[in-house]
Amino acid sequence: MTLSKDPLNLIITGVGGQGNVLASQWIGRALVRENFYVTIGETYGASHTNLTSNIEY
Amino acid sequence: MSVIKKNGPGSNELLMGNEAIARGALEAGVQFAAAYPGNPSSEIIGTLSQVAAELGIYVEWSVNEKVAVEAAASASFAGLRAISAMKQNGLNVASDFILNLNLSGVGSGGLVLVVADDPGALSSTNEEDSRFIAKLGDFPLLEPATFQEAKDITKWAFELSEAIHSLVLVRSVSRISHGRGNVILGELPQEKKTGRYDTSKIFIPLAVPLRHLALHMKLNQVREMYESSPFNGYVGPENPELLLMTSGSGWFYSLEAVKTLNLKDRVGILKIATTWPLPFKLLAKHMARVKRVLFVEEVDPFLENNVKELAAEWSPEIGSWTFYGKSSGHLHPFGEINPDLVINALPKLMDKPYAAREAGYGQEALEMTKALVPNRDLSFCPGCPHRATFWAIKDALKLDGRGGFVTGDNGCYALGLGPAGFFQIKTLHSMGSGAGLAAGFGQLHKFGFDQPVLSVCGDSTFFHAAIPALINGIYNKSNFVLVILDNSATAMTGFQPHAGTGETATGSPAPIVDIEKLCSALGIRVETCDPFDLRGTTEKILDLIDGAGGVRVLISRQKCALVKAKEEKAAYKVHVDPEKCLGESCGCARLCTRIFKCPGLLWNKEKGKSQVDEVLCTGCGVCTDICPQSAILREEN
Repeated sequence: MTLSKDPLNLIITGVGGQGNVLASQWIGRALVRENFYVTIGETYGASHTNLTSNIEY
Repeated sequence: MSVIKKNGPGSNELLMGNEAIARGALEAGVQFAAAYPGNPSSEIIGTLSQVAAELGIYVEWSVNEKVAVEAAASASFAGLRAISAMKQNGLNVASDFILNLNLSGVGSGGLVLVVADDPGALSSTNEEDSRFIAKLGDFPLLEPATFQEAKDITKWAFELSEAIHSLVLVRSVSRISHGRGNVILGELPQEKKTGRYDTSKIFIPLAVPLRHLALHMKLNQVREMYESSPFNGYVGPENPELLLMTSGSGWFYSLEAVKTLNLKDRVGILKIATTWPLPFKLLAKHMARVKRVLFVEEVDPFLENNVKELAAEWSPEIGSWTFYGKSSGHLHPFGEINPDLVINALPKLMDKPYAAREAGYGQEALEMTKALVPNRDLSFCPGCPHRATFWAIKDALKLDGRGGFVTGDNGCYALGLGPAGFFQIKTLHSMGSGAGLAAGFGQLHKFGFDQPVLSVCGDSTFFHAAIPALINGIYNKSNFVLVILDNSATAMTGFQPHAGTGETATGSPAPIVDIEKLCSALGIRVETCDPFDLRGTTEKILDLIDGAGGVRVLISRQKCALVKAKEEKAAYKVHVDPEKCLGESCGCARLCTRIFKCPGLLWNKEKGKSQVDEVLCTGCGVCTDICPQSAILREEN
């Protein structure tokens, strides 16, 4: 895969996690709409403390 | 409109890995889906359940994973494409069936089983690497490395399954299943097949050795198909100094590592999606060009050891190699891997020193964030009925005084092993194991064992695997109390309905399997309680463990607080009377905020008193019964 620009990392952190996940989805969707290549890492399940979302685009 | 059912070929969408898998199944024309939920796999069937009615497909939450694959296989036998999905532990439950299904073969409808592994056990009790079952049972295995591949591989897996009449395994990991990325959609087929069982066919593993041989021949056929698979790929120079061989999540991590270290002219990356059976020719072609190979995969050295096995046959004709990976210690054979670990493995191998940041940066960043991020324990939600049940169990066992203890099971209530459940749970293994262990402990009185044994399991876990253990205990005259924590949901994995909730996966009404009636029909003593009545629950537990012996059941029934909050208004308005709360001078050692620890209660440092967090408090009112000063007050709403 060749990217035209260097990737930019955006790290969203929060406690609990639902707002965190939602925020990363909003930003991610907006970027995809603008034809960016997005990767979001999330953790779910029992792993609900100290959650981070990592958006790379 | 849900993106999942969007018929827009070429449309670029942001999908979760599990949604991409679900979409792949839909693009393949799947008509039947069955699963038991478990992270990180739950959203696959969950996603399909949301569009099932509109797309005319059948989706069910099955009682357990074995039943789920059996149900899906029957659709395949009747000519329909079917999918099942589960976490790694679930595969163990299903394995007895699928290790016979390999020999019987599947029907004319493709059958795909997606297993989402949980490296690092982020939401599991183990981190087993499911890929070994492919080798054990001679199943074709595919491992997507990107979100696009999660969709495309799932779709193709159905074709492969139909071509060789075998179950096909797709293995994902948490970071693929729960990550999100761009996925270009394909077409959704409109055609629906009619289900019909061809009675001239049998699915019985007769003449086992011959069928086993035939299975190996099938795998050779698969191997040939894998040789030219578009899901395998190579990036890098013609003759790299080092070859990174990756599967699944290892691909992204390797790309990032090579880019970060600026090694793209010296290091090549070979992505293998077809990890069983391995494509010999493709591997030989790439390995003939290198002397050194580093394997990047999660969790166990599966690809690594299988390639080494081949290398032993190929050497020295094709080449000779030095292998790095989990055996050499360059990456660890446990837990998750990540880009940092791959980046750290490379400088040693490429003689290229690398320091991401100056020493001490990590420590400094950690110190800084400590002040910003509030510390949160692994805890039950505010108003969770499990906290109340464990409080009652704790009190009852203490009052009883014979050293009674609790065997645990899988669900939110597994947190009962820690401070959230006052350290009551002493064992935790597979689904239903709490009851199985209790049935065993209950036989030990012959050897001087005189401790009361309680076992806890959730309502969904009860249906899944606790019933056989309960019956075993009754039949063999064991002595224990099974406490069924009935919160009317499979809460841990996302509130999926189950046999006791009166609702199907697709939201239609279903008969309720009544746990109380079911247990009563077994001829044992069955009691129910409301855990929010702490005193009544404690007394009931005391009475049950003090009673005549045998197997007894207590159903501790109260809706999951998260479900309840959506359906009902709070029962009470709770507040702390600052006059009555004596704070540090009380002598209770802050029982409510330090031991009971409902997140709805706060310790106000300035005032030196407890208070209710009005945002978090669900108004269950349980804490009013634990305060020795009766300083926590509740008013009916």
